[in-house]
Amino acid sequence: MKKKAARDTTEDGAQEICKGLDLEEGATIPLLQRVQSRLGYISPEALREIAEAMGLSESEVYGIATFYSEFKLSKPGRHLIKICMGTSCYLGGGKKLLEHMSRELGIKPGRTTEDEKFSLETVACLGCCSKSPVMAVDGVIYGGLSPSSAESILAHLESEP
Amino acid sequence: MHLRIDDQEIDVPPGTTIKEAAKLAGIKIPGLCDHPELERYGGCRLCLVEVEGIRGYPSSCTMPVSEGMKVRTNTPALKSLRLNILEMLLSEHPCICLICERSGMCDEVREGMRKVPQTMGCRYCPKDGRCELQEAVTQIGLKKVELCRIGTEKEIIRSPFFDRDPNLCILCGRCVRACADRGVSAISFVFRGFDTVIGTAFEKPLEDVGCRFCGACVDVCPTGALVERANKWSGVAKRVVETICPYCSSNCQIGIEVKDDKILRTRPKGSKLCVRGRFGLEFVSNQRLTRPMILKGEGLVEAGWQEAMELVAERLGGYKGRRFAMLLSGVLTNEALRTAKKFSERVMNSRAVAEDTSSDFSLTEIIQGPLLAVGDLAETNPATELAIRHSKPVVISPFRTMLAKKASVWLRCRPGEEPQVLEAIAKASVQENTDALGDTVISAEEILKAAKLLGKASVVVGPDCNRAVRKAAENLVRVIGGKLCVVGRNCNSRGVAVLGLDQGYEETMQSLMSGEIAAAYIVGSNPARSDPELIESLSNLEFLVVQDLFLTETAKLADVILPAASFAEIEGTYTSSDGRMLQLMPALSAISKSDMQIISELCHKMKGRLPDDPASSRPEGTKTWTGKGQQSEDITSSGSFILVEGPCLFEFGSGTRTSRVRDLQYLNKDRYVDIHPRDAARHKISNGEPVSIQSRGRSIRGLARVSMSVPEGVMRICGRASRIASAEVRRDV
Repeated sequence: MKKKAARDTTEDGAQEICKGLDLEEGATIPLLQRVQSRLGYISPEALREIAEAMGLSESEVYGIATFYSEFKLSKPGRHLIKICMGTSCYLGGGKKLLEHMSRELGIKPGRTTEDEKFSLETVACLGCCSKSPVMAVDGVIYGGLSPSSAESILAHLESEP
Repeated sequence: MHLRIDDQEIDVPPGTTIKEAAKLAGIKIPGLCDHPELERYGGCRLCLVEVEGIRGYPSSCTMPVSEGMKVRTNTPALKSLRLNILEMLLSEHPCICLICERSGMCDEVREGMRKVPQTMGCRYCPKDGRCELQEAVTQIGLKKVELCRIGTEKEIIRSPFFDRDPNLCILCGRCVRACADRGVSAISFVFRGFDTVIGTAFEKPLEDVGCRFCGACVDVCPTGALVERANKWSGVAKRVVETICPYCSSNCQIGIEVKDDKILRTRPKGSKLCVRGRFGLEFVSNQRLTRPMILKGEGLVEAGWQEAMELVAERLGGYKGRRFAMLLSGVLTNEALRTAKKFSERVMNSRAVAEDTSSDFSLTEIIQGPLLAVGDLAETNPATELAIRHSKPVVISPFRTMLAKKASVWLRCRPGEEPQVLEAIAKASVQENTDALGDTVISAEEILKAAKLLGKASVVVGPDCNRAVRKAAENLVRVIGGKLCVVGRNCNSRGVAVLGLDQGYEETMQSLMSGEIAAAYIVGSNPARSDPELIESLSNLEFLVVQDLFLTETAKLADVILPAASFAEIEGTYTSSDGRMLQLMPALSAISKSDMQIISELCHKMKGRLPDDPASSRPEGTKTWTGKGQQSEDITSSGSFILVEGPCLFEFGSGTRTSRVRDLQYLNKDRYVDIHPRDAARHKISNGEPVSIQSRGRSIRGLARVSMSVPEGVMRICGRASRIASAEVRRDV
C-alpha cells in the first residue's frame, strides 16, 4: 500500500522562490505574493517552506494568508467563474444565479471542482450594473443571465477538452 | 510613581499598567483578554477607563501609568460602554442561562439537561462555574441581551486531551499568546472579520502542526472554548491538592483538582507544565494492581499481603550477600529510597542501585550566566528547557531541537560527535586552537565563537546523553571553570544521587547478565521494557520480587508482585536538583501500601531472622554488559544512514506510566522516522509514507516525516535513549 503525497514540483518551486529573497522581518507577505504569482495559489508545501524560511509556524503564516482575500489557498481551476453580488446584480437575481451555479458545479463559492476544471468566486461589482445579473468567465462578461442561459455557457466550456 | 485611581492615591513602580495599579489599590476592573502571564493585548475593550487629559477611553490593561495620572474606572459613560461591549460579545456566544430569570433553578426541573450535543447556555457548558465570562457579566451587571444573536454553528474539534468549541470562543487571543510564549505557535487567528476563528494551518489537527499539548491554552481560556475532555462534565473540584509532578526532574508544582476521590484535572501552580504533568496523570487510576500476586504453577495468582510478605521474607533470606540485587528508580520518594537502601545493605548484605543520576545545581542560578546545553531537553525535561531557552545557550545537537532554534550558537555536529565537540571547545578556550575538531562538521569559527561565549559557563547535560558526553562535559567544565549540570531523568534523580544509589549500576547489570545474581527485588522500574536484552537474565533468576503500580513487563517475570501506592496517594519527599525537599501530598485515598511501608515491613519481618550486619560484599562483574551508554560510541557508516533513537515528549522513560494514559498512547501510536527532504527525495519517500528500516538485523517500521530538523544522512526515530546504529532504508511496498 503506497500513499503518495503531493510532493511534485511545487515544493521545489517554493524553495527556489524563497532562495533569492532578503528574508528580514516583514518579508512574509511579499513572499506569499511571489509564491502565488508563480504557482497561482499558496500550496501547503509552499506555505511550509515560507514558514521555515521566515522562522514562523505554519499556522502563523496561514493566519496571515487567510487574512487577505488576495491569497488563494486551493489550486485554481482552469476556468474562473466570477458571479457578481453587487447591489444591482443581487437585486437582479445574482443570488439565485450563484445558488444555481453552486449546485450545478457541486462546489461552494471560493472552491474548485474536483476535476480542477472550474473555480467559483463572488465579486462585489464588475462595473456593468446595467446588464444585471452578471457573470464573468475567464474575464469575459456575460450579462442579463438566467440560470439556464448561464448553464449553457458552462456546457459550452465543459465540452472543451 | 504616584497616581490617583477613583478616589484612591497610590504609588506603583513605573511600567505598571493602570489595571495592575488599580488591582493594587483594591479596585477591580473587568477584562477578558488580559492575563498576568501573557503579553499585553488590549483586545476585549472591557477594561476601558477614563484618564484626565487623554481623549477617549484607553484600555487599562495596556496603558502604563504616568506620574500624577488621574484615572476614573467607573463613570456612567464607562458603565454604559462596558454593557454595550459585553452585549455585543454575548450576541455571538450562547448566553441564555446568563440572563434567564429562572437562573439557577433548572437543575430541579430538568435532570438530564447536559446530554446535549451543543452548548446552548451555561448550564450546558463544561466550564460552568469556572467561566470568566460569567464573572464579567456579574461584575458589569448585564441583565439583558437585546441584540439579535448571530448564531454560529461551527463544528466542535476534538483533539487529544481537550476539545475546541469555536462557538464558545470570544477571540480574546489568550491561547494564541500562550502558545507563542511556549515557542510553538501551533494556533493562530485565521480568516477575517465574522469568519475569524482560532485555528491551525489548513485546519490540520493539532498534532500535525507541532502542538506539544502542554495545555497552556486550556489554562488561560476564559470560556468553555478550550476544555479538558477527561472529566469534562464533572464540574468544579471539591479541593485542590498541591503536590509535585511525578515525571521528569523539572519537579513542577501541580495542583490536583479532586472530586469524589478522583483526579478531575491538573492545574499548574507557578510552573509551566508539559503534557505529562498537565494531562498525563490518569495512569494513577488505570490498570492498577491492588493485591499482591504470587507465581503458582504456570501463572500469577492473587494472594493476601500476609502470604506474599511471608514468602518474600522466607525466600530472600536465602540469597543474602552478592547473590542478591535491589534495583530502584528515581520515581521513588526519598523515604522509600532510604528504606530500600537500608534493607539491601543491612538486611540483605548487598546493595541497591538505580539507573539514574543528577548533579547538584540551581536552575535559577545557572540561567543567569552563560550556558552550554547538550541533549534534547525539550523532549526529556520540558520545563527545564523552557527556563534555559530564554538565556540563549550555546547548543550542541545534530537536530534542530526547540533549544537549537533559540541558541546563540548552534553547533550542529553529526550524531555521536558531541564528545569531540565538547573537547574541541575545551581546547579552543585554552589555546585558541581548533585541531581537536578533527573530521567533525563544525567549523573552526563556530567553535571559537562558542568558546568565547562560554567562559565559566554552566554545561547542561540532558538525561538522554550517554556516558561519553557526560565525561567530555566534565572535562570541559574543569577547563573553563564552570559548573556541570547533569539533568536527572526522573522526579527524584537527585535523591538517588544524594543517597549514592547511582553508583554501581553497570556492575550490578553485569552480575545480573553473568548469572552471578540469583535473586532480585525491583522497585518502580521496568527494565524488561527499557532494556529488552535483560529479559533473559531476569527470567533466569531463581527468585524475583517486583514492586510496582502495574503488571509491567518486568512484573510478568516475577515470582512475587507487590502492588505499591502511586505518588498521588502518599506523603513523602523528592529532592530537587538544588537540594530542596519537595513535599508530596496525598490527593487520593491509597489503593495499596506505599513503597516505604512495604519495604520497612519486610525489614521488620526479616531482621528477626537475620543478624544486622552492615558489611556488604561488592559483586564484581565478569561479563561485559552491553547496555546503552556504551553502544552509542560505535557509529558505523557502512549503511546508507545513521539511525538515531531520540527521546520523545509523549513517552516517558520506559513508557510504563505514559502507556497507561489514553491520549498519550494515541499520540505515540505511530512511530515516526524523521528524514531530511533531500534524502527523502533521493529515496523517493514522501511525507507520511510507511518505511521499514533494517538496522543490525532488526527491522523497524515507521511513518516517514520529512523534516529539516534532521541533517542529511541521518534518520531519527523517537524511542528510548539515544542509541546509534547504521541503517539501511527501504520503502514498504
